[in-house]
Amino acid sequence: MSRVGAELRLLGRDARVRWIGTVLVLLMAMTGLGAWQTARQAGDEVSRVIAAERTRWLGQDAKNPHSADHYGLWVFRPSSPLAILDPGTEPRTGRMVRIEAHLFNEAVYRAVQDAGPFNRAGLSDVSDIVGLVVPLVALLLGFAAFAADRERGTLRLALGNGAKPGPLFAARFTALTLVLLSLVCLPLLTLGSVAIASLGTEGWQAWPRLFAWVAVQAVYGAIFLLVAMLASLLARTARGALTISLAAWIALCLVAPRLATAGMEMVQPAPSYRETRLRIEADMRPHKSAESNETRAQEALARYGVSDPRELPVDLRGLMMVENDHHAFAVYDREVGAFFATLAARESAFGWAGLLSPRVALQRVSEALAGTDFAQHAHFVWSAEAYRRAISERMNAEIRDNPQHGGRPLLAGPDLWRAIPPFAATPLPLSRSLGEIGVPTAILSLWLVLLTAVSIPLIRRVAP
Amino acid sequence: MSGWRFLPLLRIELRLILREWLTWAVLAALLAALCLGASTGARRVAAERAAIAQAVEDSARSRREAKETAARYAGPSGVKINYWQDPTHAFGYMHYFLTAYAVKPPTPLALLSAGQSEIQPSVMKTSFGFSTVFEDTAYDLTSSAALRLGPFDLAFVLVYLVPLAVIAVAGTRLAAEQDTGIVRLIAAQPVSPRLVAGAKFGAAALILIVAVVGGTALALLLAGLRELPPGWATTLAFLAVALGAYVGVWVAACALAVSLWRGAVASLTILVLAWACLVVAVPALFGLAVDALAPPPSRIAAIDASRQVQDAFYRGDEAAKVTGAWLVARMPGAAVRPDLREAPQIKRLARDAFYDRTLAPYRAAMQARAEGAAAWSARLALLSPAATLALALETAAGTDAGRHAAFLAEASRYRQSVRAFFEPRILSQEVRPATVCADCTARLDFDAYDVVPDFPVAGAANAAWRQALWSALGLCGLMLVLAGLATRRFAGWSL
Repeated sequence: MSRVGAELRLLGRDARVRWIGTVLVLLMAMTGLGAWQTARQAGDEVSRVIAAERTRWLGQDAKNPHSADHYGLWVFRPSSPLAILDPGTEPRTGRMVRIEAHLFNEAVYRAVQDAGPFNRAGLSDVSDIVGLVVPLVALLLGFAAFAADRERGTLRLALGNGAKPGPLFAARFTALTLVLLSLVCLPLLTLGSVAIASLGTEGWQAWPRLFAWVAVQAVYGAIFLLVAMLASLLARTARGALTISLAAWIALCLVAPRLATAGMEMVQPAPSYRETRLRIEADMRPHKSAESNETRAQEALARYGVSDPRELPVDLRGLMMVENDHHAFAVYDREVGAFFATLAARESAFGWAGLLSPRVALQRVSEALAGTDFAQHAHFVWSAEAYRRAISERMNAEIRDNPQHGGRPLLAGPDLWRAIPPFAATPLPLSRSLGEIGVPTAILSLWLVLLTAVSIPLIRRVAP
Repeated sequence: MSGWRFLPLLRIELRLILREWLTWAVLAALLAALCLGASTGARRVAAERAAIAQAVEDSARSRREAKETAARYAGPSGVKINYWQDPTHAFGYMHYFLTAYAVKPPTPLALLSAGQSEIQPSVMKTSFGFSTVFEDTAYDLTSSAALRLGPFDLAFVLVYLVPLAVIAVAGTRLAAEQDTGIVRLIAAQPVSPRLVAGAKFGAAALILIVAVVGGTALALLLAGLRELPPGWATTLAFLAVALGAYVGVWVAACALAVSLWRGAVASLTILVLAWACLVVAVPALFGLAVDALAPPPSRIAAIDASRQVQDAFYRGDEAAKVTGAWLVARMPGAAVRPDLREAPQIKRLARDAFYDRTLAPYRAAMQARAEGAAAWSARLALLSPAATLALALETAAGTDAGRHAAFLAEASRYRQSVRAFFEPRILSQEVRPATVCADCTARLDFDAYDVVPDFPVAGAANAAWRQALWSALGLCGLMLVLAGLATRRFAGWSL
């Protein structure tokens, strides 16, 4: 412990560490607080519009239930409080869905559409900083650990005085890890706490998510600290160690992630949402034709054993709407379900791409723990669809069960509008998120274990 | 720098660089990356072309089905045909059968850069429903993980990796000699440091420019780029100059870093950090600047506004008033007929016009923002060599934000032109319904399927060559400035 304390005191006196730490903390604080401010404003705006939508729905004039179904409303994806740390899929998948009769509308208005070309440079949120800058900080902190002493000759002195390379390495690594953790984890914990305290957290299990998220970022930082220590063990000079470290940073943080996307496109190409939509429309068209409607109407009459719709105990139009919607639900379940399943499988496959770079594995783990991964998006989309179907079923049933034989239009009022509860989307639990990230978490651990394993023989053979 | 002494030195340096295994390793890796980037670009372009072909086929299919259905409905039939799905009626055709698309075809150089194509689709279905509050709701939902990590396209290789290759080959020229003490020997010879540095970095520049420009050309050829339409060869030539200048900028930056006389590793460190700043950090700062200079309007507020409009239309007798006013504006005589105000087709047209008019400021703000962000991005890009080259590549590929903003505006105009095509036909059919067939349940008063306007596809050739030219000039200028600074610093040896 005294050795770790001595190393910590040395690091504390190092101006380089203070400068690097200040820049990193400022960068994370500025980005995180900017995201928090945006999230707070968006949250207020969304709450206001949700309330206004509910008021509009309840306050609509008397009208036919099917018209009310078309009138519809908008629902919003609840944002995880940790989205200020890792927005994950949120800016890329849309947060608002229009609920209306017949249509399984996609989530629209992705923040990324409003972002200019520069916003894709790779430093737009805290998770980007952790993914790109924290490795650089870890490398800059660790590259000189042995190489500088070797260059100055103090390593020869230390080893000559009986210092064992193993404990020396352990002490330096522990001290550097403690410094890195304080530079990375404390600001992240503070930002996460601010978000949890000020943004909506209902159902998010926000505190366990935050601690798990920060722990994973710490592991990621430690991986690059080990890379720097390895470079320091291998290189004869501090400058050489720095060159190796920078090369590793470029390869692992910049080139490998893009190679992963190119490789994934070859191995498992992304499904096309547009083609899925075309298939849905092709399936729906013959079912919606006038002839097809006529045939189904005749079949319905035959089922009830009557020949005139006026003899039916139910409203034929309502009955047809129920049947048409059920057909559409089945088509959506099959086509959109298959599309989402393929996309989810592709997202999971990116976990394996973590073998190319810890940054790829981190991205997958990070967004799942932050509650902003694709699984949460899919869960929201299907929750919104279930809500839409519940409204349509209720409105259709109202028409079906109240036959209007005199040709008078059926008008419904506030009682029916109140029968529709507000949309309540609950996020997927943390246990489900943890279940989604088994592979990338194992791969991150593997990186740590492998680097440790590689460093052991190098420590034993360390040359002064 | 006298030519008779420079050229032999240059030849020697060329031979030296070409004898180094590192040079060949770097160039081979770069060529592999260029080929991979070009092949991913070719796949993306093929997918875009397939999507456009599918859209064209879908439009043709809808016309074909409308004609077939109209032929079926041409005689007496017992089938009830709703007005909204009657292809022989302008309203029914417009709202049920018509399948029109706005398309942004890939340019001949589209495989150069994915640009904004992953988040801004090149095929948008023209919709007349209320769900489309704005023009840019179309989006091909895809893998978010891939979007976050970014594509491995040619632009990535040229903008991000080429400078690293340049640094690897040229970053230690002369600095390595300084580290090993050979500089002292060279300094003892009757040659000036400018002559030596000129030969060393000139040779590196020659090899790298030929390798990068030639490698890119080879990658493009292998990816299937053969012939270019008129005008595009000029763009490609300007791009080649810009690319050569970009390589030159980084070679000059290497010379400048070496001219600090801090040794090889220090030069490499300075260069890599400069690369990280110019290629990653500065564009990220530009992104913040664009958001500040052209702040995006709130989408949520726009949705709320759209709902307020919808709510207002359906409240009380507002629908009747709006429809009446709409009728008066178009056919003053027809407004006195109360049946017209209640006709669902007329009500729908009046409603859509009401929505369009009331939400026009929101649409305009969104369009202005898209155009403003594109314009500011283009201006700011000139301040960074990486962003300048990226913008030139995106513009040549037609995947830039400016082209997409123009595409959205054109899609909006197209939607209005299609509406303008159908509106008078629907109105006249409602005002003066003409019975064509007594026992037919279809209206049989519309068959102009083949004269519905098509989306006018706009070219991107002019913007492409202009941006390529500006970028080439900017990069050449920067290269000369950096080379000048380096030359000035190589006034004497640092021993």
